[in-house]
Amino acid sequence: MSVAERPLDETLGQNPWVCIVWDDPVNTMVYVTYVFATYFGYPKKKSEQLMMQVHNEGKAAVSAGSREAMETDVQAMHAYGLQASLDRQ
Amino acid sequence: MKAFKRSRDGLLWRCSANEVRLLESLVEQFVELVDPPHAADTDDPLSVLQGEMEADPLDRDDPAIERLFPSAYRSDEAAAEEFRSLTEASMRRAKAADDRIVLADLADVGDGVAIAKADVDAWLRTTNGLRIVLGARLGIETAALSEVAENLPEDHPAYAAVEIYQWLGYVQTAMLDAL
Repeated sequence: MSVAERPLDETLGQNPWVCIVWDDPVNTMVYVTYVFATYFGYPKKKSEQLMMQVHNEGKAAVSAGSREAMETDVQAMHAYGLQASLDRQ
Repeated sequence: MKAFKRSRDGLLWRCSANEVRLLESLVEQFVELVDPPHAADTDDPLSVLQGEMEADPLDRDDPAIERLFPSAYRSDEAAAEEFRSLTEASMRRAKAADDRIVLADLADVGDGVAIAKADVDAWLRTTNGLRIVLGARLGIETAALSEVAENLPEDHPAYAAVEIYQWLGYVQTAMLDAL
């Protein structure tokens, strides 16, 4: 399931689509962090930062890429029970 | 004593027989809710497709279903519908596959419930799915409502459900701590 780590900061800007994770009151912070680290292969610190962004700002773009790649990511987030959608940047 | 202990090839959940029975019953109800398309015991694409076409549609008026199978496109209903039609059957099967892993582990209790490393994600997704369903049933839609639910008085009719919701969160967090 897990994909190779993609350096988010480098890929943002070059890719037209993003996978957005939305805040929700059910998923715990530690679980959301685990999902980002496990599925995207992000380091723990980056996973925690993204989780905090979701929590504080209501949403965060967690990956960027082609539409097809973002549909795959959104589907994986849904499988983990996260509220996720894709959109153009 | 910590509930989850790391073992050579995964985790050991030291839990009570009541906890096993409760989780089993919740997961069985979850399978019914997700109602996976008939698992064709074959890779034959036609049989798989036929199973998908014969599956009952999900009850989209159920907030729990909306949470488990959210829209992938929030501002493009046509794209959301297309995504749904292409992915829903496999998502339902994937959830049921996770559930079967959990049920198989629960059916074989020794010193505790042994969870192989490879099955940890199935356990996390399943316990999380159960929290999502209970959260939807309890109307936990915002952080504020979550506070309300977690502080219900003991004589409230939803108190037992809140207790299970919290217990699932505790199990999940203990599992993550042990990893």
